[in-house]
Amino acid sequence: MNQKSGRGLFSGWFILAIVEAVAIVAVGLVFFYQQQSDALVVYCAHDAVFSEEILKAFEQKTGIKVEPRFDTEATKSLGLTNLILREQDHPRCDVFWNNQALGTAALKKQGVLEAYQGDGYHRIPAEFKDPDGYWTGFAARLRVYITNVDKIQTSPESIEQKLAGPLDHVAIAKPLYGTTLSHYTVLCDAWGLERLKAWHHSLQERGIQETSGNASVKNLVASGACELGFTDTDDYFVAVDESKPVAALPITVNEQAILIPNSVAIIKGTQKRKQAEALMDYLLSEEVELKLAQSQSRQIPLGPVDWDQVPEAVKEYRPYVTKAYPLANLVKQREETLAWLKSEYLK
Amino acid sequence: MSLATACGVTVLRSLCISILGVLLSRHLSRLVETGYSRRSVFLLILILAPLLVPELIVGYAWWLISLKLVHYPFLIELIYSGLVLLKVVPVGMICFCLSAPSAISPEADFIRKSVKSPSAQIIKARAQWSFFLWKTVIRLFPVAALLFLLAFQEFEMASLLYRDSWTVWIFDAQAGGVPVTKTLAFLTGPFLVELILIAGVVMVLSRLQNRPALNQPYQTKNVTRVSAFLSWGYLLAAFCIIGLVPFLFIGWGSMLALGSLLQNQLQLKGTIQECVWGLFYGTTSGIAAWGLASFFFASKQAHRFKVAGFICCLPGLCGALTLALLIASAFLSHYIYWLYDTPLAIFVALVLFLFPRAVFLKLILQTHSKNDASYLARLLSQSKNKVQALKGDRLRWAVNGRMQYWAVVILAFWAYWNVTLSSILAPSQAQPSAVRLYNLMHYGQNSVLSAITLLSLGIPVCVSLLLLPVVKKLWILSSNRSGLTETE
Repeated sequence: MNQKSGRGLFSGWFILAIVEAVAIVAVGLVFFYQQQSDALVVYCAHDAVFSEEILKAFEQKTGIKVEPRFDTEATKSLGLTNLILREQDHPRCDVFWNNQALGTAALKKQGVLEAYQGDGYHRIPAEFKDPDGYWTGFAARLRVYITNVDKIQTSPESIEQKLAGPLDHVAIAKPLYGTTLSHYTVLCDAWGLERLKAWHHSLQERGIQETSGNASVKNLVASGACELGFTDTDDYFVAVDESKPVAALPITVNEQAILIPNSVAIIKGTQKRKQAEALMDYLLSEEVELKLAQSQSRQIPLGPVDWDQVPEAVKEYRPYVTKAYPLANLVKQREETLAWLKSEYLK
Repeated sequence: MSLATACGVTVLRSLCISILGVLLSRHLSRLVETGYSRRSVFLLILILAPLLVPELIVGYAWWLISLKLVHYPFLIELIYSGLVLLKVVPVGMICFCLSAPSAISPEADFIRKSVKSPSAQIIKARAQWSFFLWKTVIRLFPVAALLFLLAFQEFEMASLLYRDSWTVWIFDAQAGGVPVTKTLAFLTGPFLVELILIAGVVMVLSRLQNRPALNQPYQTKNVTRVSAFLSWGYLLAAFCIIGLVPFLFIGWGSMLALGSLLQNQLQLKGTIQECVWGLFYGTTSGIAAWGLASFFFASKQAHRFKVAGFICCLPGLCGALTLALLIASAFLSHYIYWLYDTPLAIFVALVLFLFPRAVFLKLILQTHSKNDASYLARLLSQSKNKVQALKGDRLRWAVNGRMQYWAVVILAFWAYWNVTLSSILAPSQAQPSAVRLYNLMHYGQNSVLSAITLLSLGIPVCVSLLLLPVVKKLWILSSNRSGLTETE
């Protein structure tokens, strides 16, 4: 059955090898061509849906090509912050656009960031940036209670009442990462670790629904499967745009709101410092803060902007900018919280 | 939940799925054996559809459907286990259709059952055990082991449906900042489970190979009308649950938003670009995996090459997550870090991932191609008459080449939809579309997302259909000039 007549020059193997070689060369050439473009590599933990448009606008404005790598549910396995640490000997990332600030502040401690204090840095209030310029915050989200208005009233009293009883209709994301980790870090700072532990165990004992992320919390509340959840304003607004019966109330700790800004930093060892600075200034500009405020995620501007251009839904949250819980010095608390959470979840 | 507990839960779940799966697939394979000639295409579509619909799409659709069941974790667990079961049963069916019949002939079994004398050796416990071992266990164990491995390694659906699994646990560990070396240490337990199982299968198969005389000729079994009805019912239900429901989700949304997607040049360009990268990765790794499988498992290949082939199957059999982490750590090492952000890492990973699947497909086609039609077509293609030789080549394409083409397409399709390997190993400027989709799916359902998913699904399907006549032409041309396309 395995006869070979040997009538010609080519064999099936040879043809297969040629096709494979052509395909590999094609991949290599396209990749090499892209490499030659000298693009700025941006690791972006902000939602791709919103950030891609801003990065494209930067490209068009400056002519500097940007190659973003987005954080995803899937890449949570490596996580962009961990990836930067892992690659610190051979960095491939030039600029890190994180969707929160504490993770970036932790990177400063690891010595993988370069300081930069440009025009953008100076327009952001001091409480949202690193004093040495290693990272700068911009356009923030609020940590909120999301409620299903068909099931529960959106008032501090009814929420407090709900949280005091059984929690099988309340949802929260696993606090090991994301903004729920920031939330826990704030609580650790305000209450101390022991009280935080007791609160967390109480939530679990009373049957709180733990989900994979804030979007899942939003989905559970929007669908009516849960009455109340802990999430962020950007996820809340997704539900609002889908005409779901939801409302939001900012979560406060010691009467201060948990405002979680995006942050941007230049990675140590970048070969494209000038382009990185240009991107950093652009992201910290009024233009970008307005764009993010007008986007579906409705981020809250931190620097001075023309508030007339800001949507009404975002304007409502303006007062919280001045009474936000300070995050800049919580790196130690984050480490403590994370260490405890790892011992809880990663036994 | 500790890793040991998560691993235990996954083992228990996979065990249930593999036992149920093996029983179901054995039963369903009888329908294939009897119904193959009459409704073969329809039957083939029903069987293969659950296997080919990407886990990403199935998990996403069922995650949205199961939202309301959050207070009934047992029901979600049932849904998840059911989905995994439906996805692995086709593999079991194919295995049963292709595997040798039981080593115990029906006649021998009849004699065993007929003997009543208490002194007869054949009804003693040892003989009964031997019958059970050779009639049932040895035939079922390798298939059950394969189904177990598939269920054990499942990640995408477990992650989307928020189920406890060792794969999800290790994902979380990574997110918590556990270094690669420690994560690799975490993999030891699951890896051992997989290795023990694979070693068991190898032992059983080698034992079977040493007793070829015991193999009985194929016998078509009669299927009762009720049994056939139930089997068709199962296949239709599986097709609806795995194929139709997710497709309806996507299709409905796409109808609403395909127009706006086509108008949004930025999004459209990005999607197409990522689809092209996915196709590149899929095609190159699919061809390479198929070529390697054809080389190592050619019917007349030396035994040592086949052993080497089995060893090469090991990384792929250990699952995408394990493989991705191992390759990532290797490419981040001091010696080859300069290759880290290139397509090489993902190419190597995909080839290793696809290799056992390619071997599986190769073994299916090997059985298929060893028939009279194939042999006669080959004889005709060797005719000195050019017209006859050309017709012979066309026939060979129909009985052999076309199958190989679709095998490579299926491999490429699996690679195209693999999220885990792509998201961890693909270079930042060359990410395939599956990663973007997974990212978007995280934020919830909307019609634009459905349209992007449909586009990402449609592009590889259209490309494979468009390439078919081109490859056919090339195949016949090369065959006609060389008289050789035999890859066995």
